[in-house]
Order: sequence, then C-alpha cells, then structure tokens
Amino acid sequence: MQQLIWLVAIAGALVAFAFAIGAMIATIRQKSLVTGAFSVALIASLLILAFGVRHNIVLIGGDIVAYMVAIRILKATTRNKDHASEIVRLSATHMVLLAGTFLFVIPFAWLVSTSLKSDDEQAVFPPVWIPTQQVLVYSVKRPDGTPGRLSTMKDGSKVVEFEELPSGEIKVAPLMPDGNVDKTKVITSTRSELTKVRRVEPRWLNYVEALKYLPPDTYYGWTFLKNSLILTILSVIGTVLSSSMVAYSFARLRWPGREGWFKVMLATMMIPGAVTLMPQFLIFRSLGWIDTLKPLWVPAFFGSAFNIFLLRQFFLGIPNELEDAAKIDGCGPFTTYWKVMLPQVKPALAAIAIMSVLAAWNNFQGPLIYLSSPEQMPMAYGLQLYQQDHAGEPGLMMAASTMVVLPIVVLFFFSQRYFIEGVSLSGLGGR
Amino acid sequence: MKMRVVRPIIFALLASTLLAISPAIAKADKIKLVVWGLQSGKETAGLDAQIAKFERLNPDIDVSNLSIGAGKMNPQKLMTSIVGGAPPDVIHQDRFTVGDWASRGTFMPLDGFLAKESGPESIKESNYYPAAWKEAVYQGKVFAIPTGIDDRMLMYNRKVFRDAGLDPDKPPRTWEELRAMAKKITSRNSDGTYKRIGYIPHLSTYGNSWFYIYSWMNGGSFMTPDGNTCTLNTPENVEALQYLVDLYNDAGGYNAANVFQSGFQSGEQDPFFIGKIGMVIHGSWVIPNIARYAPDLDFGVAPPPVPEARIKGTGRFKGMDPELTWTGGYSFAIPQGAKQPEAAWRFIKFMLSEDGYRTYNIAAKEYNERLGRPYVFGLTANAKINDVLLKEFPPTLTRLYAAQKAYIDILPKANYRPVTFVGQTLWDAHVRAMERAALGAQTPEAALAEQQAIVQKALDKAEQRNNLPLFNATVPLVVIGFITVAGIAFGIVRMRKELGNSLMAKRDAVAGYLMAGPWIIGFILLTLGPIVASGLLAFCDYDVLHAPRSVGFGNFTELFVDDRELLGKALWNVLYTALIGIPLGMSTGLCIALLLNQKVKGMAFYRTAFYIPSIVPAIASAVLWMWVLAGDPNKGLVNALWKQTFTVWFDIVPPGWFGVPEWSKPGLIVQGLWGAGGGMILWLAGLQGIPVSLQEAASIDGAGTLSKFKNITLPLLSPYIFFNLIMGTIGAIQEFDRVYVMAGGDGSSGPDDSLLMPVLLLFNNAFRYFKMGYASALAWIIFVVILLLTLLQWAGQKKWVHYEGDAR
Repeated sequence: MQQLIWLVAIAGALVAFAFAIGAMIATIRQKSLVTGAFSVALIASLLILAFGVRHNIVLIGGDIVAYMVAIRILKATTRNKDHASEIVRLSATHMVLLAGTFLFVIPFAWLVSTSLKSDDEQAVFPPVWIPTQQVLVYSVKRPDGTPGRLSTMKDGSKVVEFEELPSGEIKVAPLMPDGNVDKTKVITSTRSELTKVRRVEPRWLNYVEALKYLPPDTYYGWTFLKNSLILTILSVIGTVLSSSMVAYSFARLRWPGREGWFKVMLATMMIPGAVTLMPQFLIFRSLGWIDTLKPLWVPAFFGSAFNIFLLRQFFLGIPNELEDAAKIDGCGPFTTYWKVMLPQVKPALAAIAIMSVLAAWNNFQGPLIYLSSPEQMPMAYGLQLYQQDHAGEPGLMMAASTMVVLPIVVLFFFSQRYFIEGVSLSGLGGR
Repeated sequence: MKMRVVRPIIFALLASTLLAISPAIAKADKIKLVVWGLQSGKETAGLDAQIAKFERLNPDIDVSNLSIGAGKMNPQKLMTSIVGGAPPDVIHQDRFTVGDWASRGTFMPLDGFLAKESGPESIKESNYYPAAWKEAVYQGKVFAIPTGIDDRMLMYNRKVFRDAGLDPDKPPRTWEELRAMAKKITSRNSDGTYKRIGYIPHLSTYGNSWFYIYSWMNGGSFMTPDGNTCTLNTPENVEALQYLVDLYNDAGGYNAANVFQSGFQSGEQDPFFIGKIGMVIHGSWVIPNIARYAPDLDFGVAPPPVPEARIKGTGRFKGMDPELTWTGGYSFAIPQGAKQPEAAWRFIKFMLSEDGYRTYNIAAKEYNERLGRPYVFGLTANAKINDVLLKEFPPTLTRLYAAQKAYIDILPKANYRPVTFVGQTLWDAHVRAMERAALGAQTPEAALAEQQAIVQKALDKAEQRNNLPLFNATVPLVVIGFITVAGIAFGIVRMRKELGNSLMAKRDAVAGYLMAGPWIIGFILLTLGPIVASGLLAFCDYDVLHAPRSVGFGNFTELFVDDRELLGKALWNVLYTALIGIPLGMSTGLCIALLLNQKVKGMAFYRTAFYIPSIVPAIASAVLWMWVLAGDPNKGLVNALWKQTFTVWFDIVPPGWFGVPEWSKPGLIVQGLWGAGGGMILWLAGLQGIPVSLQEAASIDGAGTLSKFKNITLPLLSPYIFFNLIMGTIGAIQEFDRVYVMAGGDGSSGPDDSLLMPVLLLFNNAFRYFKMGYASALAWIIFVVILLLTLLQWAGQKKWVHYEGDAR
C-alpha cells in the first residue's frame, strides 16, 4: 500500500512539475516578473518537498497544491487553452529531455569524479560527487617527508596527524594558532577518534599514478598511444583509399563480371567475422605476423564491403558530364578517379574516415588475439589489462579510462558534423 | 573542414607518431631475454634488485620483463605466442597448469639441464617440498622448477571471536565446530543486510578455499593415481560438497554471499582486517598484506578444520594425518621454441639460488621498512631456503612470526592438485559443480556426477584422439582446384564474348579490374579462402601444433550432444540480450529522436549529450559500468541511487548486477542502453525525411498525435526500423568485447555462465584451448543462426515494412 502511494506521489510530482515549468515559461514570455518569481518559487518548493521531506502523503498534497497554483498562473498568463497546452507540452518535452540528458551524462560525471577522488572517498554511502582531500599542514613533516594532515578530535580541537605507528595508532599534536604544532603535547590516538578535516580538492595525482604504475617498457603509456595512433592512421588511410577506389570501379567503370562481383560483395556482409577468424589467424601466423600490428591494419587496405557499398551509392549520384569532360581532357580512369571524382565525395569520405577511426581506436578483439607484448599494444587493450591489475583501485582505473575516452570525445567535438553524417549515411544503406 | 586545415593536422599526427617511435629503438648486441609472468612496478623492489644483479653478473644478457598483458600469463596469450612462433624465453607459470602445457608439447623438458647440474648451488629435487616438485613433473619428465609456494590455513579474527563471545584461543578444529562458530559470529544490520559473516565457504574474490580443499579435508581425491579416471563423484566428495552447501545456506545462500562480497575492498579496507568476516581459509600470501595494511590485527591461524572422525582417526580416516593444507605456487619454465634456452636456464638458476633470494629479500625489506611497514618474506618451494630466510629475515612482530612459521611448518603435509592434461577442465568442472550446488540448481551428487562425466569424456577423448585417421587434404584440394580452374575458364570465355574486339572496352576492363583489385584479392585471401578452410576445419581435430585429424561430424556431435547445455546456454544468453536489448535500445533511440524532432531549443546540446556515450570505446564503457553497476551500494552508483529512491519508496533492495546470474544480463542491457543515442541520429534523419504536408493533412482530417504516429510516422520509418533490426541482430549475435571484459577479462563467463555468449565460447575454444576444429564448427552454427534470423526478418518485412514509391 505504502508503495502504491509512493507511485501516485511520484507520478503526481512529475505532472505538477510539467505544469509548473510551463507556468514559468509562460510568465517569462510575458515578462511579468512577479508571477515569474512566484512560479520559480513554486518549482523550488516542490523540489524541496520531493527530496527533502521524504513522506509520500505530504508529497501528494504538495503535488495537488502545486498543480492548482500552476494552472492559475497559466490561465492568467496565456491567451487561450490551446496556447496553454502548447506551453505545457513544450515544458514536458524539455523536462523529459533534461532528465534523459542527466541519465546519459551522469556516468561521465561519475567517471571524472571518481578519477579525481582519493581512496577514502571511493566507497562511501551516499556517494561523494565533489572530490575532497584531507587538509595538509606543511609546517609539519611526517617520517616519509610528506606534510602532516589536519584532523579534529572528538572534543572539536584541531590536531595534526604526523606519524602512523605500525600498531595502527596515530600520533597527533595540537595545532596552534600560528600554524605550528605543539610538540610538547603529543597524543597517541586512533583512526576512529579522529575526523579528517577535508577541503574540496581534486586528486590529480590519480592520473600521474595511473601512468606511473604502467610497466616501464611502455614509457608511461606513451607506447600504447603510439600504437593506437599507428593503427588508426594506417587503418584510415587504407580504408579510405581502397574503399573509394573499389567503389569507383564498381560505380563508374564498365567491366565484365562487375555485377556478379558486386553481388558477391553484398553477400559477404552477411558472413560473421567468427567464421573467418581462425583461418585468418592461421594465415597471419604462417606469415610470422603474430605479435605485430600488421594483422590489424593490413586488411584495411583491401577495403571493406560496407564502405565500398556506401561510396558506390555516392559515386552513382555524380552526373556523367564531369567524367566525360575529364576523358576529353585526356585523363585515364585512375586520374579521373583521383583528380575529378574523389573531391566530389569528400563529405562521404570524411564520414567513412571518422567511422574507421572509431573502429580502429576501439578495436579490441584483434589486439586480444594477435598481440602479446606491451610494446605492441593499443590503448583499448591496455585499458583492459589495466582493469585486471587495478580493479580494486577505482581512482586509478577511472583516470586510465578517462585518458582512453578523452581523445574520442575531443575528436567528436572537432568533427561533429561528420559523425552525425556518418551515422545518417550508414542508414542509407538500408534503403 | 577544408583541406588547408586537414593537411597540417595529418602532418602533425604523422610527426608525433614518428616521435613516439623513437624511444623504442632498442639497445643492440645483447641477448634479449624475454620473461613473462613476473610482476613489476612500484612494489617489486626485490625483484628489480634481483634482475639487476643478474644482469650485472651476466653482462651479455638484457632481461626484458613483461609484466602486463601476455606477461601476466593469460593462458590464451601464452598459447597464441607459442603457436604463433613468438614465445618468451622464460615464463613464470602457475605450477598447477604445467601438466596441461607439457602434455601439449608446449614446454621444453628440463631434464637435460638438470643432469648437468653439480655443486652445492645446483637445483636438486631433495631440497624442495615434495608436493611442489611433483606438481611440475609430467610423465616422468621435469617441465618446470618451483619458485614460490603458498599454502592455506584457517585465519580467524580474534577480536571478532571475543565480540561474539567465543574463546579466541580455541579456533574451530572440526567441521561441526566451524559451522557452529560461524553462525555465532554472523550478524545483520537492521535492513537485513549483513554486518558481519562468520564464515563463507568460498568467495571468488576473497580468501582461497574452493571445493578442492573441502574434498581433501574429507579424504577425497579427484583423479586415480594413474590419471586415467576422474573421481569427482565419490561419496567423500559428495559429503564434502554437501557440507559446503550447508555452510552457504548458513550464510544466507550463495547469492547473498556474492552480494556481500561485491562490497569488499582491498588494502586497509580488507573485509577480514576490518572484521566483516570472522574466519576465512586464506593463503600464506596474506601475511605480508596484514603486515602492510593491518599490522595491529589480532588474528590467529589454525589448520583447516576437518570432520570430527578425522581428528579422532576413526573409520576411513584411520592413519590419516588430521592436519592438511593445499599448496600451489609458481615455477619457471622454458617454452618450446624459445630462442635463448641456455640464457634462460642461467636466469632460472640465479633466481632460485640462495644469493638470488637474499638479494631479493634485502631489497624488498629495505623498501618496506623505509615506508614504515614491517617486512614478511614470501615462502619458497625450497625448504632449505625457507630455513635461511626465516633466520635472516624473521618477521618482527611476534604474531606475524608465529603465523609465518605455522604456514611453513604445515607445508610437508600439503596436498596438490593432480598433475594432468585435463587440469583446467577439471578445475572448471569443480568450480561449476560447486557453483551449481551452492545455488541449489542441482544436488551435490547430480552436480558432481555431471561434471565428472565431462572430465572423463575429455580424458577418454585424448585417449581416442591418437587413433583417429590423419586428415587427408587431397580430395578437397582436388575439388577446390577443379572449381578454381573451371571458374577462371568460364570467366575468360565470358570476358571474350562480352568484350569482343573493342580496344576501348578492353582497356576499360583492365582498369576496372585493377581498381577493384584490392577488394577482389582481399576477398579471395581473407574471406573466401578462410571460409573454405573453416568449412574443412569444422570436420577436423586440429590444435595447430599437431597435424589435423579427421573426425567427421565429431565436432558437431560434441557441440550438440556433449556440450549441448553449454551451447544452449550461450544461445539463450545471446537471445535474451538481443530480444530485450534490441527493441529497448531502438525504442529509446526513437523516443529521444521524437522528442528532439519537435523543434525544441537547444537541439545541438541534447544531441551531443545523447550521442557521445555511443562512441565511447566499448572497453572503457564496460570498465566504467562495472563500477557504476557494482552490487554494493557503497561502491556502485546505480545501487546507491537505488537505495536512496526505490528502496525508500517501494522497499526493493538493490540488485546484485554482475555478481548474480539473474541480474548480469539485465546489467548488460542497461549498459547497452547507454549507447542507444547512436541510433537516435539515424531516427532523426528518418523523421526529418517525413513530409510535413502529410502530417498537416492528417491534422486537418482530425487525427490525434497518437494516430499520426501510428499511421504516418511508423510506416514511413519502417525501412529504418527494418535496417536497424537486421544490423542489430547480426551485431548482437556476435557480442564479444564487453562481455569478455565484464565477465572477468580472462575468458571466464560470469556467474553460472550467465554471460557466456557464442563468440566468447568460440574465442575460448579457438585461442585458449586451440580446438580449432571445434571452434570452426561453432562458427558455422553462429553463421546459420544469423542467416536464419535474417531470412526470417526478411520474410516478415513484407507485412510491415513500407517503402515509399513502392515498386520493389
């Protein structure tokens, strides 16, 4: 029963919110400050009611009141019923979108927040979002050379922890107003008696340590980055060059057997990678390519069926006149392709390039099968290995994850258009 | 972006790549000795000193110690490197697997080196604990030299004992006492979750007991001495497993224990150190951790409890020692095909010498004491050296000294896992039996019987394998050759006919073939050839190292008869995630797109927010979500929020996600939904292609929002839905990357195989066990499943997919 009431209360709160936000938008459009402030206050009080007072019946009452007040405001500020419902619909849309955005972004926020927290904040309930650290007292040195740490005793007095004894006890000394400690009044205390004095301060050291704990032969992860770059660059060059050339041949050149080969190519898209996985391994093994990057990028130079198909559609859309003109100018097929046709499909090429950047950067199964030395590993694989080593150290793990995710996010922000186009393009394949 | 901008970026990338390569230019002129399996990092001062001293004594050798990835001795990686012809020179290998590796001919026998040994510093069997040395001997040959050793004892927290009103000087000696004391210690919070558990029989991430030790406690065994028969299902083992199940039930069941365990942390927060568990069977390696993180921990160690009759020496226990332990540990071995075996042996000899151990311990001790931690040395498999170390590096705290000595003293009474080529199979089988019995899915007897049959089958199969005929490639080769020749001839004839005598057409044809060449060559080499090869392999038994043998339909019968449960589970798992995950993902994407299509302000912002998660590398996403979905609300974000909302509102406790079989797949689906924004872009493109006039016309006719959506939007989007459905299905069936990571990242398949996917099963068989034939057969099954599903969807599309300007 209690649960049912909660359900009603939450649903009611959502409806009330939609109307309250609608009321706010309407007042803002009308530029009537007083009612605007009133509706903002309404939203705020509803929020406080929902999250502050955790009582379902009270919340239902609040919902109803808020709903009625919002309706009154709406009536007062809108022209007619249609206008009012239009505004409420819009505000509900925004509410849902914002809630969705929140859900989608929150793991990122968690990733970054966790990567900047110190160990003693990693596993507490409720979770900590803003990283803090214990305040350090630089005038006091601990035996290992690090500064002393500020805490409060049970009686509220400030003390500095300056030595941890092997027995688990902690030596502390009172902090004097001048910033020094009174070494004459050293007390031996325990962790449970002390409360750490904390200050908002991200722990950037997690990033440094994440790199430091990598094996020395990876040069602080530099090798991983290098391999990822090599792999990505070569794959992209290979994919773009070969796919576009093959697509051009399929689209614009006339050769016997073309239709047959094209159908075969479409059919290959159906074949799961699993079927060719083992024989391919045997082929690369006989070439002595195990534990090198070659099995990962050489196949890109043979083109990929999906990209060829997409580009072919694009080449088909280019008018014949251009090609004819090139022919008259004495260009051979290759020159025509390179000088005349390729520039025409640049947006499609960019989209394909972006997709193959993603594919190469995120490739995991390939490295997992073919690579064994750290000198050869790309970042995605490095991260997985790191995860196995440091699963118990969330700060380092999330710092490492952030470093793997960051390049892709940066790439996205610089070439958003091509990402979006790429996805839309891939949908064209279905039509 | 204009080319003017693109070029400098490309050059910058290339330049940075070149820069990045430069530090990797290696030192020349030295033997490069590649070692796998040794840790390296901040905490390995001892090992670093040892290797440095070896390099000083052997200036011609440069040791390259790989400590992650393959260097961590992932069996799949080691096998791949040996099969691939690029093995390391020395490996530090878990002794328990040596028999398996040796049986496949992947390790070098070391008897030749041992025969040449002489002098006081030589490696000889008599110095080692028998359990350790014998574990590395297979069919009379020595394949590895033991290094470290570990054994297991019951550790108990004396403070917890006092709190629970138990006598801290009387640890449990018998099974019955253990159960009674565990019950006394267990206590719960007000919300029903555990505050403290007395004893959990086995935890996958904490302590170290497994079913093996319970069997040995009860006088059981796993193999007959000749190694031909598996004895998992004996009365002793059934009794031991029943005891283990009882212990689980005392602790609230297997799932509850797993959820409790998901909140465990390491270091200072170790659950035993902070009194979250009262007793645990744990290995000798914990003592250094206690010294480091909880030097003031008031704990004791005792031999693992045994049935009461064993203490009394009555019945079938007559003449058996009431004390026992289980030992394991590592060893050095040289893989077959290593390029520097002589240098490798020199390295092994130094590492295992008194000088080597002394160098190690001096450096490690100094490092630890500099950080203010008491030092405890690691036990070695060499009894003589343990004596030396205990004398020269005694642990300073008396409690630690006593514990260390107890762990050493019980070593001669150690049991070890049977040396057999089915060691891994037996291990997996025993884990599976334990898990199923603990979950209550099977009775102990049924679980053991089923798993025994699997191990026995593996034993028998190896026996039969040598009688199979070698695979005869002549017939297939002739057929393939014939088809190729016929195809080429047909092609030439056709081409002649089509081209005629036109020079232009001929030139065009040459250009066409040249430019399509990359794909055609790639298709023949990397697709067509492999498909044919895979088809042939499916009927072979092939492990790459030995010649293939033909088994007919053996691989398929194995899959559909012997392993039908595993295959069924894999298919069920993939269907479960696909059937729920794909529609959910598609509708999420569509919902977002519908909302965004209403010309709301801030479209670019929303689009970015929803889209970015879908481009995050699958591995990073999996790593992140494993943390976000951790079962313990103290750790997992989702469960923390859950506890603050759903638990308060509806009184539902947070789920265990990847820790429990029922929730691991939903966890996977939730993680997948995070990437649903990728589809949104596609839906948006589709939605924007819907003519506004249609919508307006419908509005004038009085259609509501819902009926417009049903009658206009959905039909016009149906080609997109269809395309996404097909691509989604093909992708989902080949699910691999994130399951591999989330199920443990070492080829394991989640609790109760709940994350076992077909491609994961294939990967394990192909690259871990190198059962290439079996894996190929599985690949064809996956292919057929994909084909059937696609055809099914294709056949169904006529009913609901609407093509504009329809003529197709």
